[in-house]
Amino acid sequence: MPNLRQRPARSLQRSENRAGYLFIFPALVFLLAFVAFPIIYNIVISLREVNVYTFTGEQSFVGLRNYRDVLAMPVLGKAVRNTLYFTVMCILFQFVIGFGLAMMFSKPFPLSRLARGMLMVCWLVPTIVTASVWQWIYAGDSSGILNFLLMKLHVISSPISWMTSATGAMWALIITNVWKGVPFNMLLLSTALTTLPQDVLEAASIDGAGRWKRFVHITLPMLRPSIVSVVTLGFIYTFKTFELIYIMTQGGPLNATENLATVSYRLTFSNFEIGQGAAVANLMMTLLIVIGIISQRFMEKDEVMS
Amino acid sequence: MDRSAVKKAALSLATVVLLIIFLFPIYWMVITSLKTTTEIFAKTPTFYPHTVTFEGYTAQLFRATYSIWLNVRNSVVIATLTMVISTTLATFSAYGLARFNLRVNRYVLFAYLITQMLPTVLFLTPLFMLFNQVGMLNTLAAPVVFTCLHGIPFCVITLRPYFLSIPRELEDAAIIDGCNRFSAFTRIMLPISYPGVIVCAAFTFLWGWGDLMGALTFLQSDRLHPLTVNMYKAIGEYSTEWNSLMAFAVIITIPVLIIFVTLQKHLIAGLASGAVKG
Repeated sequence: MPNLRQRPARSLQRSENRAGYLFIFPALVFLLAFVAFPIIYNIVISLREVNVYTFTGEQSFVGLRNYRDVLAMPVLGKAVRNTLYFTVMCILFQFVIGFGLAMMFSKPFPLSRLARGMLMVCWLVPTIVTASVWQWIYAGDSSGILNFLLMKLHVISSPISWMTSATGAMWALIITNVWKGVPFNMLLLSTALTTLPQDVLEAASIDGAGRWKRFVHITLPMLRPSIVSVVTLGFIYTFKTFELIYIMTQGGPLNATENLATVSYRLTFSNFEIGQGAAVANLMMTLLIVIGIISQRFMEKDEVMS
Repeated sequence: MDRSAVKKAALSLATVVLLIIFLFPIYWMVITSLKTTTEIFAKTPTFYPHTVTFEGYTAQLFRATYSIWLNVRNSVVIATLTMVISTTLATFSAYGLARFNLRVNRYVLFAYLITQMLPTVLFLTPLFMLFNQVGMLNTLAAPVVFTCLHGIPFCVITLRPYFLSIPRELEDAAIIDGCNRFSAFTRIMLPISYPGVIVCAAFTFLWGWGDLMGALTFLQSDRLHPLTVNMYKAIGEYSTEWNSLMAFAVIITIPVLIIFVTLQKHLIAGLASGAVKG
């Protein structure tokens, strides 16, 4: 009788499932309370007039007005350009340098393991420390060590005003962020490199493929899934950079380093235009989720293919 | 010398140069904290302190009207609670996601990925309102929750591959031997996956330790501030007293270095295994 045999199996399955839910439940409740709530709350207030006048009173529904208002602000266009410029430059440098270091440390030599580990310190140091140490390194007058060294090496003839000029401040942030990001890229890529099948590379070398050919035709294609994932992670984290900019330049001088995150923060906490701040945060969230989903598709495709 | 020895020497030399460049900011922070103000602003910078002084450190310890140890305590409490809550919840969750074929698994995992992508500024206002409603504003629990939002998804994503890689038979055997689901988890699965758990504990502790925005937004009383907020305020107030600021930076960095040195091997292996696969 098939019925009798099935029933215990099904109830066993059910008690299994119950145990499973118990395991994932606590963290899920935490997330629902502290992630789902803020997302919904933000959407709601972005559709209302919430500012210093209406804060305690009635907050009228204004539809998409906050979105229209922030999109019309000249600073928003600037922030979008800055965010993209900062993100692309950071990713470019930290990925290329990180990849180079990963390739270098994949060769067996006495210092490689130790060095790989020590570089991680750059990534682990709290942002407030990173920001203030680099501020000191960039100090504009001759006391800043970076200007001193660059002049000593005859790279520049007069001190660069790192923190007070528009281009200087942007690049000061990019350099600092690259310094922090290189170890992370290096670590993830060197792990990926160790998974490459050595025999394929050897076979190619026996067939007469030079170093460059092997890199372009074997190493890069085989690392594709890891490269996609490292670049996506880097893009998302860099795109939402906030603390570093907030501490080092506060978006200045003259909005030169303002990005979407600092604009949202300023609207909310300095101008008390809370509805508008929420609108900018929601625009950011939408962009990030779209990017995340696209890259997830990419990675899934890779997994199916390999 | 044969070719490979020359190559190794060249690589080692290049590595030393790279390490000097990358670790220079850390070195510069430490020696600046030990210099006198005159030496800091000398025409030609000195690359080691000619006269060592602890002025910078004593200035930090005695500047405030209350002891800096209060801030240290707050930092330790925030970091420890962040670590305990994130690691515990995430370990259970990662195990559940790896071991049970639930219909919701896909969505839960997706929710964690999305949470990691959300911008920090998105959370500040809503959580401020929420904490205010439930009486958590101006308590150390507020920055803890804020940091856990980043910590839990990271830990789940790091730990799930660990649990997936442990053969199911091990656990089945334990259950046949009389363990229940929970004791099989604590006695068999946890000990095996402990390298991953260590990574999560270390990182979430460091994030709690380094949190600035949570504490700055949700804590109004000076007596509740962690070291990071103190340092942030010091940057505004004593912007040119670089030895004091760098002394502060060193104080905040010391626990990071201790954790790094003791757990270096685990951190690198664990981070690499989880993050790449996602």
